[in-house]
Amino acid sequence: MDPILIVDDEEAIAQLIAITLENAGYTYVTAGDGAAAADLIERRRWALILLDIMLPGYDGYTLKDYIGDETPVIFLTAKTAVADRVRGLNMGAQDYICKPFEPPELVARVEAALRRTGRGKSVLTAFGVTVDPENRTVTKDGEPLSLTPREYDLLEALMRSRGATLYRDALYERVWGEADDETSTRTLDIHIQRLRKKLGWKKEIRTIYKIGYRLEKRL
Amino acid sequence: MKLRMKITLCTLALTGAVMAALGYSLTQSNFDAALAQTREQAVASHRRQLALVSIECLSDGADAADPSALAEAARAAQRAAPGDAFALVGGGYATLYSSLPQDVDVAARAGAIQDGANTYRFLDGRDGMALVMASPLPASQDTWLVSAFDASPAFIQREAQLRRLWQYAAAGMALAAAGSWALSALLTRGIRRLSAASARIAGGDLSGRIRLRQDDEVGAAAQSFDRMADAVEKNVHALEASVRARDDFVAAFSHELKTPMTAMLGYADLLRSREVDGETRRRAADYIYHESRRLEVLSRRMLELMELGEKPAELVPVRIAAVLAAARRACRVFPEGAVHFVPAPDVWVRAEPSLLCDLVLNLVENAVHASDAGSEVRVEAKRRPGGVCVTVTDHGRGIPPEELRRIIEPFYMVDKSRARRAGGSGLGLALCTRIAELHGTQLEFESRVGKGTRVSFALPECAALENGGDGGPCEDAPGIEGGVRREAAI
Repeated sequence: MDPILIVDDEEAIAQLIAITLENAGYTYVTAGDGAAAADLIERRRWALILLDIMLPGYDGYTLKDYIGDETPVIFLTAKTAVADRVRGLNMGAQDYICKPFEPPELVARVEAALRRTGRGKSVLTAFGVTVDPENRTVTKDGEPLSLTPREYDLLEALMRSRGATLYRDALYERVWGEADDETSTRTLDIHIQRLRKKLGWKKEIRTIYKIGYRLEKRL
Repeated sequence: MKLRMKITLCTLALTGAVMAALGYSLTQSNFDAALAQTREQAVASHRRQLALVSIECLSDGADAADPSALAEAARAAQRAAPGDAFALVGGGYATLYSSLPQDVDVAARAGAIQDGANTYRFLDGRDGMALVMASPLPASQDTWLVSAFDASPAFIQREAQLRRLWQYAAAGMALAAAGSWALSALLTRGIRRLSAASARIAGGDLSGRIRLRQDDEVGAAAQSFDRMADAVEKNVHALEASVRARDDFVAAFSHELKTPMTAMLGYADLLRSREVDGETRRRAADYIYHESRRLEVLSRRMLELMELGEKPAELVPVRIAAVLAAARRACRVFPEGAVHFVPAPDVWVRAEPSLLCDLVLNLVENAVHASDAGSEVRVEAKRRPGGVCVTVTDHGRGIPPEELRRIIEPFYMVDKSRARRAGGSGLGLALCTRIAELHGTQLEFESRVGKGTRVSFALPECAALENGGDGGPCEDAPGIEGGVRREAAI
C-alpha cells in the first residue's frame, strides 16, 4: 500500500502521528512546511495526506487546491471554528480532525477515509480469523462468528496492535469507556477468556502477568 | 401629525379667527351706523308727515274730530309726499286712511300705537324690513299717525357685507394656508433633516450627518447632533477594532495552547496503552517534557501580560545605570562575551525598575537567539535632549521588512520552528510593547536581513532622588525563556 504523507510544522505532532500510524501498520513520510509537501506530492502516489492548515509558506487550504481530488486529504488543525471546518469539508477533504485529538481517533478516521475512497486495507487478519471493521463482522476460516459488541471491540483493539502488549487499564478504558476500578479488571479477564473460547485460541492471545495482553504476531 | 401640518393649521385657525372677528365687528358697526341713519330719516319723515297732516287739517278748517276731514287731510298730505307710507288710525283702531303696505296690518298698527310715541319697532315683512312708529296728532289726541319707513337697505347691506366677508375670509384663509404651508417647509427643514439623519443612524448607517447652517435652536441642535454622531461613530469603530483584536488574540492563543496539548495527550496516551520499544519511549517522554515546558512558559507569559493590562505601573525615579546593571547581572546565563553593556550615563528616569529590567532582558534574549556564536549583542544608553535612549543591537539574522510590523503581535513568530525549539512563546515582544507603553514610550525597530537588528526606546529625564536610591534591582528576572531555569538566571 502507498504510504501516508504527514504535513505538520510541529515536529512533536508529526512524530506522534508517525508513531501512531506505524503502530497501525501504515508507512509514512513527514513534511514540515508547504513547499516541502508540494515537492513530495509531486514525487509519488500517496494513500492519504494528513494536512495541517497553519503552515509556514503555503497554508493547508492552498495545498489542498494543489492536491486536487486525486488523493484523499484529511485536515488536521487547531482551527476548530465551524466556519473553518465547513470550509475544509467544502473543499473536498475527506475529514476534518480538530486538535487536540487522541491517536485512536486519528487511526479510525484515517481508515474510514481510506475505506471510503477504496484504498483501505479493508480487513484485519490473524491466525485464520478475519475482522472487517467497516461491517463489524468476524469470520474464522470463512465461517461467521457471533461476538458481543465488547468482545468485538476487544478483538479489534488486539488485532490493531498486533505484536504489542496492551496495558490492562488502558485497554479496559478503550473498550468500556470508563476508568477502571477493582471490579472491572475482572471483567476484562473474563472477556478475554470468552474471546479465546469463541475463537478457539489458546496461545494466540498471550497474558503478560500483571501488565496486560498481547496478540502475537506469530506462534 | 406632522409639524408642518400643525403650523399650517394653527396659522389658519388664527387667521380665520382674527379675520372673522375683525370682519364681523366692522360689518356690525357699519350696520349700526346705517341703522341709526335710517332711524333718523324715519323720524324726520314721520314728523314731516305729522306736520303735513296737521297743516292740512288746519288749512281746511276742519274739525279735528271729523274722520272724513282727517282722511282728506291725510290724502292731501300724501299728495305732497307721494313716496311716504303712513296711516291715520282713529279711536278703536279704525283706519281712517292708509298707504301702508299690506304687511303693516291692523295688528301691527295697533302694536305701534300701543308702544306709544317716541318709540319705534321693526317689522320684518314680505317686502323687507320696515321701521314702524306712531304718534298722536297734536290737534286730535285720539287720532294716531302710523308711519312705516323702509329700513331694508341697511339690512340688505349688512347681508351683502357679511357675504363678502365670508368670501374674503375664505380666500384669505386659503392664501394663509398656502403661505404658511410653504413657509413652514422652510422653517422645519432643519428639523426634518435632523429626524432623517437620526433615523439613518438608528438604522445602522453611522456616517449620516446633517451639516445645517442655521442660526437658531434648530441649527444648534443639528450641530450637537453631528458632534454626537462623530463621537458615536468613533466609539463604535474603536469597539469593533478592539473586538476584532481580541478575537484574533483568542484564536492565536487557543492555537498555541492546543498544539502542545495535542502532543502531550497523544504521547501520554501512547505510553499508557501499550508497550513500546525503548527508543520510542524515550522520544515520547522527551516530547511530553518539552511540550509541558512550552505550556508552562506560555501560561506564565500570558499571566504577565494580563497583569500588565490590569493596573497602571508605579513609576519611581531610578538611575538608568542601575536598571542596566541589574540586567547585566541577569545576562550571566549567556555565554561569555555574548552581551556587552556600554557604561551608562548618569541619568534619572521614571520607571518601574523590575519591569524596565525585564524589557531590556527580553530584548537582549531575542538578540542573543538571533545571533550566531561569537556575534556580540550591544546594550547602550545614550543621552538625548530631555532624556535617554536605550538601544539593543545585534548582528544576527535580522527581520524581513514585511514582518517588521507584525513582530509585536501576540504569538507572532517570524521563524516558528526555531523559536519553539528555543522555548519561545511568541509573547515576548507583546510584553515588551506593553511595558514600554506603561513607561510612556514605545519600541522602535530597525532591521536588515542577514545584517542585524536594532531595537530602541526613549525615556524622559526626571529629577534625581536626594538620597540616591538605585531603584529596585531586578534580582528575580523572570523573563528569560529558552529553557533557562529561573533559579539559574541570577
